[in-house]
Amino acid sequence: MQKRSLPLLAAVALALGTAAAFAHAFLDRASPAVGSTTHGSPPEVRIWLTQGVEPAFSTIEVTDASGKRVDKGNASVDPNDNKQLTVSLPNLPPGTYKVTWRVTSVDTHQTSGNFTFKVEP
Amino acid sequence: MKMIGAGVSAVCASGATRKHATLTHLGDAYYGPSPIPSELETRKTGTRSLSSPTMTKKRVERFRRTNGRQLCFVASAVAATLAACCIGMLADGTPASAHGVAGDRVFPATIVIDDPAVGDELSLPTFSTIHNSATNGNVGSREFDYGAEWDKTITEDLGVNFNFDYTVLNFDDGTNASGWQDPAFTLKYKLYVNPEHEILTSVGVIRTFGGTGSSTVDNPIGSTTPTIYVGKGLGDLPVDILRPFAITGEFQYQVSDQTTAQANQWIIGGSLQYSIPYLQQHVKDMGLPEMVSRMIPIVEYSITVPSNGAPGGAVTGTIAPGVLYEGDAWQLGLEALIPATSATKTNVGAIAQFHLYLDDIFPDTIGKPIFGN
Repeated sequence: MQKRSLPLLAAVALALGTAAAFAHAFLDRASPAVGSTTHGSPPEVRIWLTQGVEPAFSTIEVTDASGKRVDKGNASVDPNDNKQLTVSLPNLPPGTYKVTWRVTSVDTHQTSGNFTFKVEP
Repeated sequence: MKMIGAGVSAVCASGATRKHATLTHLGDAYYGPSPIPSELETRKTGTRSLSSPTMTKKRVERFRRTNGRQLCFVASAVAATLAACCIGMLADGTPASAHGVAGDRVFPATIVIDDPAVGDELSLPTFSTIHNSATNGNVGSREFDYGAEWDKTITEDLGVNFNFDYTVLNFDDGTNASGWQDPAFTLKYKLYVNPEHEILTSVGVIRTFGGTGSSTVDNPIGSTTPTIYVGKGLGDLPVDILRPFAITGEFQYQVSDQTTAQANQWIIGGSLQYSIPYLQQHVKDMGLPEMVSRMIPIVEYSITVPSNGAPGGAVTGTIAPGVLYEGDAWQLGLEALIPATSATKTNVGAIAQFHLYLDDIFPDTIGKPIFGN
């Protein structure tokens, strides 16, 4: 049984090695970091995803505690790295802000997520 | 002459989603003419039993013929699943996603029970080992199981699973037995997804055809098992540190093809999991090393309760604490197998599984639904 499985396992490993670049895009990290507190308003929110995304079908927005959108509405995918998504921010007053992102990876899988950060004086 | 002892549990490993190896003991619930299956295993696919090596070919053939009488019930179960599909289509139009995704929550592939997702996945291999105790004068055994499961989507919300397991029994007296168990087939439909509250539910029916495996280890009695799968992430809790928790459940009623010989039974499984990826991505970036940030500590359990009418039926079960490690398109899982009741009659064992997300690896071919995108 084990010996017969080896060729199959090898084929699976080969397929995995050659195709692992395609996968759902999940959040790798963010700036400001997830759940973090910044002193002063950050100029932008930037997120790094685990896979490349399609710019036309990927968005990110920032809302305040009341749900009002506060970003500048210029979300974009970095032209040099399609794993990075950014949106600019105005000067934000102290408070808790929610970042919501929704992307379509290059293999067409849709994923989304959200997190918060705090701004203190 | 050796019997695979009455009252002994066997583990089997297979897919799954995990799914895999829920150990149960049904020996006392089996009240057919002896000797019949007494060493049983349950997994996501339901409880299965191993036949005694002493079973004659004639008896196996008789059980196979009996399977045909159950076709009406099988058809009814399938029809019920399809009806649920139609109801689900009408009741919920939420776009589904591959993997077990509900909002921010990604439900991993659990090993002992099945997860609530419908997807394109491959569990290969699932390996488990456990020692079955000697009981009632029967010889104990060290059991090894090698399993595989292929999950294939027909549409985005409707899928089928195929489970195959090869079992090796090394008896304590130095003899051994090995062979394929009855394959299991599952029809499963993703019924309801609530992204906001991270809820994912599916319904399905599992079918095993008795006597289709190797005569040395298979169960000559087939079964049909309607199943409800539920997953709930706790990301909507107000306490941040609790938000990475999630629970999943599997509720089954296994209908035996030969109730006079093998009792129907309830099978209830569940998992409690703490997703460090969820913590890092949605609650607070703790700056953890990448290896740690991909781990999901988990405890799974599965309990089997013979239904009314099973004389002397005993409640059996397994608790499986362990950890899952999430790769980009794969998952590795390792769990202990701990008997949950005194009637389970096993020692502590272990189960491991390598799981592939085919929708990520082959998004344009075998990793996508046969119909639709």
